[in-house]
Amino acid sequence: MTVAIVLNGEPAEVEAGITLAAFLENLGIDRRRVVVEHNRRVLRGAELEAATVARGDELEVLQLVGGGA
Amino acid sequence: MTTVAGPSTLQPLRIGAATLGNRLIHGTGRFPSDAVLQACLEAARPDLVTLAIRRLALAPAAPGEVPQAPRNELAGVDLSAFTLLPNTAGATTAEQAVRLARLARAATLGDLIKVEVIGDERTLLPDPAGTLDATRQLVREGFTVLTYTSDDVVLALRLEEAGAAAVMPGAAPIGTTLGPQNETNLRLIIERLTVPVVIDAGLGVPSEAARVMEWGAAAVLVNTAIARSRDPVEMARAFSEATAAGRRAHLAGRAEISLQAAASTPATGVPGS
Repeated sequence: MTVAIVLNGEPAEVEAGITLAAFLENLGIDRRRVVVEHNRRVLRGAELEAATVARGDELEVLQLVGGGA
Repeated sequence: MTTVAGPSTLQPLRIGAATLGNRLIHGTGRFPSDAVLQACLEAARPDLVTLAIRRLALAPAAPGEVPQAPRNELAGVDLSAFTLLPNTAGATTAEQAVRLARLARAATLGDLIKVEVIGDERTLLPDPAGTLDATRQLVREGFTVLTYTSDDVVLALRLEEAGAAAVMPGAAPIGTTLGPQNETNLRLIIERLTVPVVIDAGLGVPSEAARVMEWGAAAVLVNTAIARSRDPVEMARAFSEATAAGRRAHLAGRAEISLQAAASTPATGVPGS
């Protein structure tokens, strides 16, 4: 079963109840290189193992990129 | 006073937990490739480099397909030798800047943040009220805040009062490489503030970096002038050298200006007279 969430501003379907750690792993994303915001709260390390995805969640997966000013 | 010293060593600049032996802060945007950026960093040898934070591009895999790991920007650049200064570029409100700063703290595992709240998309000039609000809020949250601002003297003073660890007036609008447009204001900001003043944005050539360092700027931040030059690696090196030269000249103190000519060669002992 999947649930509808908003992922990086776009509608997405993800497996219901999946942990954020597993979600990232399924996408092939190296957790050490990204930062995750779950319903506007920044999650760190072990918090990704505990947090699960529910219907209507807002998820942001971000990374450091080149920039100056 | 004249001093006779051994080989000159420059004192590092300290901003929060960051120590800048090299007072050139190096940007990482708009470079032709990761390899060129890496070579620039090796040539300039900065201590502090700026970064931004953005959404990861997530390409959904078709059913039955193995999802492709999204490419991480800067994946080909080794940043382990540098202290990272993430910015809040892209923010147009204080709230957005605070959100980006919190994300950046989680990403870099550091408390340094360069606050940018843009007030006008055409000029990329900062929003004064939003910039001040974001600085106050992030100082309260324990960040070491370096704030990008315009060349407005009073706003710079207010940012210092708000707890900014450094204030970063632009020499000219971001990415223009026009060089310092308001010498008087930049010099007043340098003179009036107690916290380090970093000239950020709009520098075009190394002589301009040297000049603002001669005025007493604590550091400069350069990105586009290096990244978009014909030979970014040589330009990175030149900016690094010019920044150090300007610092040395500031500490040395310029000779007095005089309208009266004074020969620097002895007037006596000329043969055949």
